Amino acid sequence: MRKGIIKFVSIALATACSIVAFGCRKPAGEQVDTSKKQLYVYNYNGGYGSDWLYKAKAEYEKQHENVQIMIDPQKPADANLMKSDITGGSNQVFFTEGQKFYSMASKDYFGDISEALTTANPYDNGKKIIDKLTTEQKEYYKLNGKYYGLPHYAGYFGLIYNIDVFEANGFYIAEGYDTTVGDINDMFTATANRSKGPDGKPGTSDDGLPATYEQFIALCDYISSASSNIIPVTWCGQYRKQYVGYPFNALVADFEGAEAFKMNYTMSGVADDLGKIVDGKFVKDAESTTINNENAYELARQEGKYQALKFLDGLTANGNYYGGNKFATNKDDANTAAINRLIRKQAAMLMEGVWWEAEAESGGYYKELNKQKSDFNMGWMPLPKANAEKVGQKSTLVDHISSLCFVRPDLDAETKKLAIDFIQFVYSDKMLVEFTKTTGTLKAVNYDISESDYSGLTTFAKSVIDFRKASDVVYAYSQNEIFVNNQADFDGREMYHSNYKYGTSDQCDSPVYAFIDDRIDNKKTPDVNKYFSGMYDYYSDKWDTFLGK
Amino acid sequence: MQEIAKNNPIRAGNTKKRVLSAEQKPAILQGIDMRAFNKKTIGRKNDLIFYSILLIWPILQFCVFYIYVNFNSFLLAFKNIRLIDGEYIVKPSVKAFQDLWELLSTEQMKNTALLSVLTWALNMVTMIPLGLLFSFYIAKKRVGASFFRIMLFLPSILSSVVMVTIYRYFINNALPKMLEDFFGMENVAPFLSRPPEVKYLMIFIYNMLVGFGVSVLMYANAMSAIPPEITEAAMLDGATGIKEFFYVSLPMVFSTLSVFIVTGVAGIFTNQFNLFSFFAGEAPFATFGYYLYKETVKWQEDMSHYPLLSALGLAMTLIAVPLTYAVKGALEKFGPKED
Repeated sequence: MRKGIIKFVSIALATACSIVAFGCRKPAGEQVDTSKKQLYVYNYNGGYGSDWLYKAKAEYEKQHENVQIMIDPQKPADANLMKSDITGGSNQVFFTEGQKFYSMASKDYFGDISEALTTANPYDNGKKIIDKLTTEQKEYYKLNGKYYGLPHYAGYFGLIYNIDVFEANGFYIAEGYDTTVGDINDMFTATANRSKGPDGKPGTSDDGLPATYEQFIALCDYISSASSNIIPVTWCGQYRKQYVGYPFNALVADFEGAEAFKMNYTMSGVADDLGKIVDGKFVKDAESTTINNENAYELARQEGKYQALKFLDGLTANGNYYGGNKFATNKDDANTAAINRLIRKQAAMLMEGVWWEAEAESGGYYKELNKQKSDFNMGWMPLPKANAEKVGQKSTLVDHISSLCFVRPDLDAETKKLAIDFIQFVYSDKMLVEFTKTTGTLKAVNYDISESDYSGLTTFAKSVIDFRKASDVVYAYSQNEIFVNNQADFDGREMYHSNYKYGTSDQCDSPVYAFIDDRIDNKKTPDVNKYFSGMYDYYSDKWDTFLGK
Repeated sequence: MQEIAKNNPIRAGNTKKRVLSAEQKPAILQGIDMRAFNKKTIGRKNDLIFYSILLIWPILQFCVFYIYVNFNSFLLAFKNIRLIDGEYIVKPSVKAFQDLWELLSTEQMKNTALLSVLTWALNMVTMIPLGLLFSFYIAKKRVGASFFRIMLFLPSILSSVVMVTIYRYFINNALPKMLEDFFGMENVAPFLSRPPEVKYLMIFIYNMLVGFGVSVLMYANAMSAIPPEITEAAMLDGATGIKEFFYVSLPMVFSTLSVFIVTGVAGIFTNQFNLFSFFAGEAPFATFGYYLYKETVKWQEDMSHYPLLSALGLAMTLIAVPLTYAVKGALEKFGPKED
């Protein structure tokens, strides 16, 4: 009997090992059709999923009966691909994110795809893909006169709000209120008489939404006092450095505007809002500063960084604003838990990325409520402005995600031709729109969406598209020498280190730790001025390392 | 085959024909049974092939992942790499060591060093004694010994991601709920949402739970191999269970124990304490092992940062090697002897 059990367990384990060992060799699922030419396509199966690619495959195979697109959806813990990931497997075309394109291209990780970009696209009435790229994109993806990559999807972090919760509870800010007089309850309304919102224009989708940081904090205060069951703002606690850090970065960009914020990547331009703390207040320099590689650490003194710290300080000052008091769980829960709080109306606003709807859908959270994605009424909330003067200023988004489409460098001529053709197909207007319809998000290239396609999108997707149209976008990259040699330090989460005492350390990696963790764990009141001054000290001290000196 | 066999005096014919007469043998083979000799030679050849096949893979792995990687890392520490205009410019330099000196003088790294040593010390004072006691219990085949053996070893064969997920769920959800339901406590916060000291304790307990597997197996096997006459003699001399443990089992397994102590010292600089599995790159504290891993992931493809990481690795080796040998020497000199 005992021997029998041992035999059975041994066989079971051996079988399991075999399945694991051999199962890893090829993408599971589809069988190879030997009568067709295969094109192996890697897809980073993160927030945007793989459904869009399966649709592209079906459409492409319909048009090319002799081709079989083999999709390999992967979600490694670290999206970063190494050369062995690219040339060691069978995949030939890659759609992914979080790649350090310039470093990788310099090491010959990618094949030349200039032909796909610069020749007339047969699937797009002869349009060229290159014409869908911005000037900075064209510059970034070009190396030694050739193109080795293409931007894939657009990734913005920010605020999402539950429109139903806002309407049912009257969380919209009323026009003409005065924060200095009257009752806070008079400041808010459900539908009528909404204020103009951050764009400063009446009759637009942001009407009634908080226009300034002050209004935003007042809204949080109102929500937390009006309802004990609704958290004003929520986020993923476990990865708060990311889920709060990126929106913090977005606040800085929105304050600075595209040109001024871009200097953080290009290390070139004229900075006219640098300042320092004098007598406990931010005081702007009398003269502007010309930024170059040698002095780009001066950008740590940009006013937008100071203002974003003030915003974070206000938001985290009261645990009720973000559930720090009521829901201690927030500090270690996953992003899906935060998403659930939003769709279950336990939270009014969520700090997340534009791809969250696809994650909620693939996670089955809508189904749990016996609903569909389209049943929910969510909106992308424009970030509030630092002060009344800034209201009406064009918004700026940061595309932080470094998404990338490329081919492996060692393709034979026939496969390369097929890969180029497939890329052109995927970047045709029709398929770009199909991507948006499937994921509810945008590709990071320019294309138009017709009225009929637009009307079929969710409220949230529509709000993202509308906001994107009305905003400038900064892509978080450049070919500047300091940037390309220190890319990890220019990630939106990592750009705000400070010589600020945190715990037992003399440095703090992120304002998120100084303003959330220190408050909760160490019962310490953070100091905006010290953190801001500490950022300058940190970057001026470390700049020689950035320069490689 | 038959032809060959006919011509072969050993294979063909009967025993008499196969054995050479004393006169036929060369002087050097006088007195040797050639039949046995040839059988041994063939057997050895087969053994050699078998062992070569068996060892070729680990040796290859050792060559690539230890010798090559470490040699390359050593060279990297003395380089300055910079990406300029799409080309990597590599120059010999000691800049990485200057940067390292600066890095090590920060509070952050001092804390990292402190935590690495603390973690090792706590491991020594908790894991080893408990591991030995568990092993003694298992070796004595007391009630449920097989069950405990399997349960203690189980975490070693399960994926750490699975174990971390289960443990995380337990301390964040199940344990607070149990404290609320059974002890009437209110609003018990999840244990990984608490201050860093509590988090550290939770992670330490996890490492203890999953860390017994191999050591307990080894100690228990070593204890089981102690000749029963020795323990019987100790019993006859009136030794109790505790005395048997300290005066018989412990000295007899000391060579196994010392291996774990010595490798533990070397691990001060490499143990990442499962922090990455729990917090990815956002752990509230770090050991050297975690720091190196996190930074390597962070700077992947940013080659200009590799020299500093290599220099850090080299510096840690320079400390770890003499320390390990010192501990090994001390254990050999002062540790209990089997005799």
